[in-house]
Amino acid sequence: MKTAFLKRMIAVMLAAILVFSLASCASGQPASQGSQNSTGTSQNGDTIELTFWYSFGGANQVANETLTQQFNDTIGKEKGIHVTAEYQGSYNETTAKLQAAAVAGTMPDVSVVGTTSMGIFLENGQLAPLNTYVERDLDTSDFFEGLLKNTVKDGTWYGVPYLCSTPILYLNTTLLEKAGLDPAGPKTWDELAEYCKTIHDELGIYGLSTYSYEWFLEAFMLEYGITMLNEDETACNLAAPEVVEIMQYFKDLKDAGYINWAPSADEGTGQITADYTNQTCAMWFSSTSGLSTVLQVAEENGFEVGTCYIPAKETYGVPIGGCSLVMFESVPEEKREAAWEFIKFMTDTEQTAYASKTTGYVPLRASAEETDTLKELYAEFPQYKVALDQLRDYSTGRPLNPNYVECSYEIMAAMDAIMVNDADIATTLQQTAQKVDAILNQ
Amino acid sequence: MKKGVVALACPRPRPFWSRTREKTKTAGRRMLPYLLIAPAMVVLFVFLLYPIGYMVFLSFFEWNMIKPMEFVGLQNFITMFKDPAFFQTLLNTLQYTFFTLLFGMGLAILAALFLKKNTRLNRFLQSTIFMPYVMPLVSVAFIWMWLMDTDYGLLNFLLQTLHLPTVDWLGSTSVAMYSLILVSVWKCVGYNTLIILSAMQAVPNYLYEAASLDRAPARRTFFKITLPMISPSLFFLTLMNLIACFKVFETVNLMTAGGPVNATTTLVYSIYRDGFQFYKLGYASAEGVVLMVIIGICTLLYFGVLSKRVHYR
Amino acid sequence: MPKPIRSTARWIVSIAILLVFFVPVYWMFLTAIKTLGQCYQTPPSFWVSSPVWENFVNAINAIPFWSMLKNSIIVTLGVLLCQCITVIPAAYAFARLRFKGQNVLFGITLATMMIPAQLIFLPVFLMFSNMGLINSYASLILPHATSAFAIFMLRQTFKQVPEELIEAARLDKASQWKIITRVMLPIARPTLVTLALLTLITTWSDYFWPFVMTTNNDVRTLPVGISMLRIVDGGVQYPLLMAGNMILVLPVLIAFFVAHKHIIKAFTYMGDK
Repeated sequence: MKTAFLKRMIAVMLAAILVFSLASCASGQPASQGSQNSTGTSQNGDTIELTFWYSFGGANQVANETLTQQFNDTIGKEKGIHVTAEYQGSYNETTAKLQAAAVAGTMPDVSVVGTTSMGIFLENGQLAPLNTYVERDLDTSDFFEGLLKNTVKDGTWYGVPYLCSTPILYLNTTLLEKAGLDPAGPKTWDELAEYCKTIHDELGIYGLSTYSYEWFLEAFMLEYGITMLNEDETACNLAAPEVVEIMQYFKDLKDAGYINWAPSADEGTGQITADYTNQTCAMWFSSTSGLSTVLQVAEENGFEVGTCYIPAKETYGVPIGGCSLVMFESVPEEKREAAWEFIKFMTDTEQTAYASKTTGYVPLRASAEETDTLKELYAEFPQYKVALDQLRDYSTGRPLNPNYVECSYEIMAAMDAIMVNDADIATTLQQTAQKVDAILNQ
Repeated sequence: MKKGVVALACPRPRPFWSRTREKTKTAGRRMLPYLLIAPAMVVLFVFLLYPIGYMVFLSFFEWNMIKPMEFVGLQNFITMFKDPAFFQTLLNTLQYTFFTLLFGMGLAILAALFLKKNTRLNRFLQSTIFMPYVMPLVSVAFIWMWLMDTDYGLLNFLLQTLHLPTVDWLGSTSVAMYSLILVSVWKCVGYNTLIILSAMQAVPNYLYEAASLDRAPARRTFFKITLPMISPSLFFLTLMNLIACFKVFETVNLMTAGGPVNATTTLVYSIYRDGFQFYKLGYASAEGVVLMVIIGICTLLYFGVLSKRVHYR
Repeated sequence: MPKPIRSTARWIVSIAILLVFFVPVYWMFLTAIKTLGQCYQTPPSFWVSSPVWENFVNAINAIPFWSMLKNSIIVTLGVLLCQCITVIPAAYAFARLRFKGQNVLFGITLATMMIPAQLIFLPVFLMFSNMGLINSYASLILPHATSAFAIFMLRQTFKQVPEELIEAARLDKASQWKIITRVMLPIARPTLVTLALLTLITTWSDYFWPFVMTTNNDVRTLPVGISMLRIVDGGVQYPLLMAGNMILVLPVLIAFFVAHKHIIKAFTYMGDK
């Protein structure tokens, strides 16, 4: 009797599940495709309501909210467009939310998309091609070439670079001078090693502080003249002898006590921030996007900050980072012109100069250098200019393979294993290369 | 098993409501329990069981949320069981659960013995160790992240002051998991203590009096009287802690992001990462099914033990 | 053991316990009123002579604080109200009535206790999207409108109500409703208070659910706001984060210190089965 009873209960349960799934499917394709506005009134009169999703609190939030407000007050007012800016967490969280919203049919009209996430959207054909607008409205030669690598694919624009950055070497010039070093910073890897040793010997602190981050490794590889992935992104170059050399170089420095190497979770815990704030390291790798914060911290704690290119091995070279602005395929035709107006505004010369000044992200366009905003900024803080020069002359794109986000976890785990766990370098890289190749092709 | 529970629920042979002979009323009364549980059941079915059914369904598909779902049969499960990383995830989860239970309960029993006397100081201490339990887990994670900072954290500063070697709390593969366990024990030990303490206070005094007449040593009194008498509460706590351990996510996500080298990747964290950072919904669902099977076994065990200890009441 | 040594040992352990549980909380507070430079000082200072209260102002200004506070209160109270409606009758039915499927349904209820939110939020998100209920209080309240744990605990309590009391009520021709409200609930009051507190605490603290169910700040709760202070491109700033953290923890801690006797008593009662 008991089993019969159980069976019946299970049947009831399954039926209930079925009903619910049917119910949610039936109401399936939502009536309001495209953007579902929080305000409820999507189009009253002639005003077109747009939704814009952005990532990160802090300075990014200030820049995004301020620029959106400016748009609404000027061009928006004039052309009857109103944009609502909405925070969605980190780049990865924003991507996750966009995918969920895509299934639910509640995509925003415009969103920021992190550099490495572009591939996911491209593969799924979710991004609206912008060539008609770009050709009509933009002077494409004004944009720095490296920045376009992740937004323009085979001649088609799928977005416009927005808040972009590169890794850069930060210097505590006060400490460098104290150690008797040139405050301009090291230019080559040999010099970098020497700097680290001298700082350690003279001042008893770390020469350099950094952590396991695949973005930095991409930069190091570029300096050796190789890229993380091969041309068609089907295999990685992690097993190359150059990478073994790179890791050995840093491992030696770490084992000698010259540098501090934190594990990959550091993005959250901020060991590097602690080191430079407290002046227990004289140099550190970080994104240009933190420059404004660093300058503020330096002033509070009484030291001078300089910036220089990531030192060269064979050559200089850095991957770009940050995000682009995209318009989604789900945006209805009648709203696309308005969405483009917004994208155009946000990436225009004056706006990119403002964003650059507020956050430390690099300006997108050569013409921005001529704005008063940046002229004044560079006169007072030449550190910003270094970031711009490095970007203009030596930057390139990042992998677009949609599975690269997953690969990056493996890469960071390998870096952790080598630097933190003292795993054998060649073997670890070999194994990781195999894993990454498998993930790339899945 | 069923019989035991029923006996527990209705010690009387015939429930009082069934005595009336009026037919319509009887029908109404028969429906009554279902009406009473309906609101709760609707919520559970819609917001918990339907999603779980959906997950089971997804585990047989390959889906990245955008492209059409592709039926792959048991492929996700095969991939999963072939992947050594999955077994590490399982082991990590077990390690976390085992040590959190061991220390969480062990320390709680010690604390309860220590605080047994009902004095003002003891009551104050009781409140103190209970305090973390009411704090948001996210806040607790932030606080400990900061305390465990390698160079500037308070913990390593204290170790240095005592001339002990410092610890790479969250950065070392061998230590990181224990750091997470430490945080979870810190948060839950107060609750455990409280429950055990109240169970101890409920043990009838004459048992202890008898023991003291026999001049039984304290240790024997504890193992022969206290422990058996509080075992129902311990059992209840084990279940509660077990649930919390299987669900652990916030501390992993905030403090270690599953690292270093996957040393702290637990099952739920892995499910979330595979599903919503790598967009392998099918594979993540298969992992979810494994978690549900483990949970199901726990529930059955609970019922099994529950029916055995019915006589206790 | 001689008595003086024993009592000294007692004091030492007591002080150790106090330190272990108070220092982390004190450290949070201390960091929240330090400058960034002070917070990374070595050796760290255990006292700040000129507290930086601006950290709190900055934390509040960095997020839509007041509307999030309002949302937190609405959602917390909403969940509490819904749980009262769903939990009490269900617990009564499971404890005191006898019906077909009782064990299976109760088993299912127990099993749902162990389902983590990370496993189920996507289908729920899709469901609410289809109904146009994303960014509504409903999407934050309804999924938590019942609690398997509360049903379980309350059922245990209801079971302990002496049969004679119900018998007496029945002789007075009291209806089921009256039996619940006049007999069961007054007896179960300590359990109810505890469960209510637990619900308030968990709902107030929840970060994950309000974050994944919303796409704008209309109904987002305070924990989502506080996390905006952490999710910053380029390094976390502990003083600001801890200030935000204090704001989140403070109401709970104040409530705890005001009512800790009652809270302890209520929890004690619950374990006392």
